[in-house]
Parts: sequence; structure tokens; C-alpha cells
Amino acid sequence: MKRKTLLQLIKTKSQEVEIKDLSQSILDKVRLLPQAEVITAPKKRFSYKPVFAMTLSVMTATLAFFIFYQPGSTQVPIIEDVNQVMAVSLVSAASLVDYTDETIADNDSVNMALGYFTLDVAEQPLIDNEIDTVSQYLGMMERLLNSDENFDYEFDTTDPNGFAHHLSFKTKDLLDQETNYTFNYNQINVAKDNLYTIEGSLIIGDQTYTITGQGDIKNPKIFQLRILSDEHNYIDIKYEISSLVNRYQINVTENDMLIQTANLAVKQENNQRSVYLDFVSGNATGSYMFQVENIIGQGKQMKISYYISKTTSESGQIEVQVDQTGADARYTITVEPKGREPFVVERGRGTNDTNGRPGKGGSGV
Amino acid sequence: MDNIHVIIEELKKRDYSSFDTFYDLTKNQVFYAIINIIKDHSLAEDLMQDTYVKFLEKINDYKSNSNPYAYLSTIGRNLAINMYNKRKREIVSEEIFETIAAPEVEEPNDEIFKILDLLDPIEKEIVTLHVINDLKFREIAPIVDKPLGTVLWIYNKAIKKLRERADDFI
Repeated sequence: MKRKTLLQLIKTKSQEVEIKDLSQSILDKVRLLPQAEVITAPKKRFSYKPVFAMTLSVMTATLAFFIFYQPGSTQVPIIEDVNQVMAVSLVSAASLVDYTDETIADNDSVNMALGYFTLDVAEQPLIDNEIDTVSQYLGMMERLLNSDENFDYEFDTTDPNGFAHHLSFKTKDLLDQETNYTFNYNQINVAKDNLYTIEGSLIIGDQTYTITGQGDIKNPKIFQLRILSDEHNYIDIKYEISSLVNRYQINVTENDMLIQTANLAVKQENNQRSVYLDFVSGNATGSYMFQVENIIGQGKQMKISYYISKTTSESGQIEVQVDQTGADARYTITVEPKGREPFVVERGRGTNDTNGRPGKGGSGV
Repeated sequence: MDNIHVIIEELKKRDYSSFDTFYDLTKNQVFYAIINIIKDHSLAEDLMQDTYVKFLEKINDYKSNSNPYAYLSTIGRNLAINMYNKRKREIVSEEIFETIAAPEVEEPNDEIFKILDLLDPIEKEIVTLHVINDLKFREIAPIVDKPLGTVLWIYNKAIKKLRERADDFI
């Protein structure tokens, strides 16, 4: 028998075997499976202006300053009504927690209705539009959540280098790597207007940033720091502070336009530090609660609960791991919107080329 | 070939509307990857289902430029080997305790199996994967875990053997 004939015979005979149509049975089995995690490549690359990256990175340091800022003069702000600040702060924080809990409960019922399997989710999850903005804050959150409570700060007024006040402190990121900061500043009181101003420079690694600030001597709520990239690009932070809650409003101005406003609060409860980030305007509108968990064998991870409300609402969880493989550390961000398929995005962490400066979390990849 | 890749992309999005087409395009490959190891027809069908379920369950591990026939053949073959080993252990165990009769195997009666049964197991598998499943030798080599040269040598030996024994099955 010729080779060609033999091969054709095998082919022909193989096709004579009846093979059942099992397709429906297979699909029935697949639909009974727990929903598998879907890993998809990021749909878009995020790249924001370097100037914005810089100011965001510096914002961490300024926030750190705020957290333990204790003016040494009797003329500097003191909190006149602690109860008021505490009440407003607690209501704000509690509202954020309620949002998350309520939404989790709501979506649990949705999940039960859908069963294990969700098909044809036509619309993108709301988080898809916010994850880039949120990722900008990851470097800051690493440090706010993982640093010592008082940032190991040292306050010194004896160094005569042109500034009356010298504040040194350090932060720790998720990898427990430390970043040292030095904030040198002068404070000028304008007694007749009950105002004071701060002018100084913040040194992080080999970089120096200009900081200005002003506030009402009697009313700490209007105190404000401005971190200048240049006269057209800056970040303003207003703050309220008490022994129980620290809350800040962050305004990001780019090319003289206010592009983002967010409220931020730090809360320590049952030995668990949480940072609440609530976007008020700009590209993002969601509320986010950040925490750090130390997972045995995996190191420290950031856990984020979120709630976004637009015409529809959505909540979910986000896990952030620092991936150290390769030349640059990166964030691996697993996003799990409730009732939808999880997805993973990666973002540059930007700590390897900053000479000790804090990460530009979320810089483009 | 393009069509099947389009369907796989749909399957990745959990769109199963074309799964029956996908099944029709691939069922022969999966069946023959299994039946050469597990000779029981009905058991092979069970394993076919498991093969597709596993494929769909892990579909995001499938690289878009891969050969889906080779991919499915590999899954089916591995499941069949696992089943074969499991049944072998069960039979040995049953023989030791002499309590349960060894399960009867439904031998396939089709002519193709009479032809293939003239070959050694590895010859049978390589001929099946190449002639019936249309896989290239370089795709078969990793599946059977043998160097490409060995695969070619076994294949040529098998074809020569079949040609010599053609009278047995014509």
C-alpha cells in the first residue's frame, strides 16, 4: 500500500467513528463552576505630567508633617472646639465605612441572584475609570499606612541655617524601606490679622521643594500648605487635626486649573490604621479605604475597599502588591468589583530612580 | 484556523454562543488524544467533557497564537494518562483483595482502532496526533516528551509497519 493511500485510509476511518455531541453537557458543567478569576491586560496606559507626579510625591511628606505638626508658639493654631472637629470627623469616617458595608451587603444579594456565573457584562466597571487616579496615591498610602505613628520625627530650633524650625522625620513603605525628610521653615506671625505664614523648603534625598503655608492663628481649619512645582502647578492641603482624627482636603492645580479635590482622613482603631480617601471632584468620584495587611509568606499588602456612585453604584476590593521582580518595583493591582469579573493592572512604582524620594505611585508604564 | 481563534477569543469573554462550532472543529482531536490511552469509548467521552471543561476553566492561560488542537490534545492526553494510572491502581488493588471484579472495558470496535492496534502505544499516539489530529511533528514532540528526531523516527517506523501489514486491515 502506498504511503499516501495509507494515510488517507487512516484519516477516513478515523472520521467514521461516531463522537457524541457533548457540547451542551460541557457548557452545563462549565456554568456550575465557581467563577474563575479573569486576568486581563490593562486597557490603557496612564501617563500624567511629571510635574504632577512630583507634587504628589511631595504631598506625602507634607501630610506627614501635618500629622504630627505641633506648633511651639502660643500664637500658633490651637483647636478651640475639639468636640466639633471630632464629631465632624467621625461622622465623615463613619459615613465612608457605612457606604462600603451597605454596598457589600447589596451586592451580595446581586451575586446570589446571578449564581456563580456572570455572563456578558456589557458595561465596564466604574472602577475602571478611577484606578489610574487612585494609583497615583499608592505611594502616599504606603507611607501613611506603614510608617511609625509619629514618623520618628525630631524637632529642632537650634540650627542656624537660615530657618528657625527644622523638622526631620522618616517614612517607611510597604517594603519597609525608609525615606528621610527634612523640613526647614520660618514662621511669621501677623498679629493684627490673626494670621501666620510659613515659608520653607522640604528636602527629600537630593531634591528640595518649596513650601508655603498660611493660616488663621485662632482657627486651624483654614490652615493651608501649598507645595509648589511652579507658580502654575501646585497642590494645596487644608487640614483639620485632633487627637482622634486627622483630616485633610487636597486640591490639585495643574496649569492654573483645579483638576482634583479629595478629602483624606487617617484613623487608628484597634491597632489598625486606615486612610480614607474621598474624591470630591476631578476624574475620580469614589470613596476609598486603605489598610495594610501583613500576610505570612507574602509580606505586606495594601487592601482597599471602595465605593463609587454615579448613575449606578459599585463597590469592591482592591489588593495591591509590590512586585520586586525585574529592574523596577511595580504595583500589581488586583481589582475585584462586586458582581463583576476581577482584573489585574500593573503600575510603575517609581522608587528606583528617585534617590530616596517617595514613589510617584501610578506613574505610567 | 482563523475562525477557531475568533471563537476562542469569544470564549475568553465568556461568550459561549459558538461553542458548538468549536466543539465540532476540535472533537476528533480530543477524542483520539484520549482514546489511544483509554480504550473505553464511554470513558473517553467522559474525559472529553473534562478536557473541554478544563480548557474553558483555564482559558485565560491559553496563549492566542498557540495551536488550539495541540493544546486540547495535551489536556486530553494528560487527563487520559491520569485516568489510566488511576484505573491501573484500582485494578491492582482489586486483584489483591479479590473482592470486586475488574471493570470491564468497552473495546472500540471501529476499523480505525484495528489499524492503530497494530502499533505500539507510542507509535499509535504519534501516528494519531500527526495523521488524525493534524499536528506538526514539532508540536507532537513536547506532547509526548520526546525529541523531534525520535518522534520522526518512531513515526516513520510506524508507517512502515502499517504498510507492511496492510493486508491485515484492508
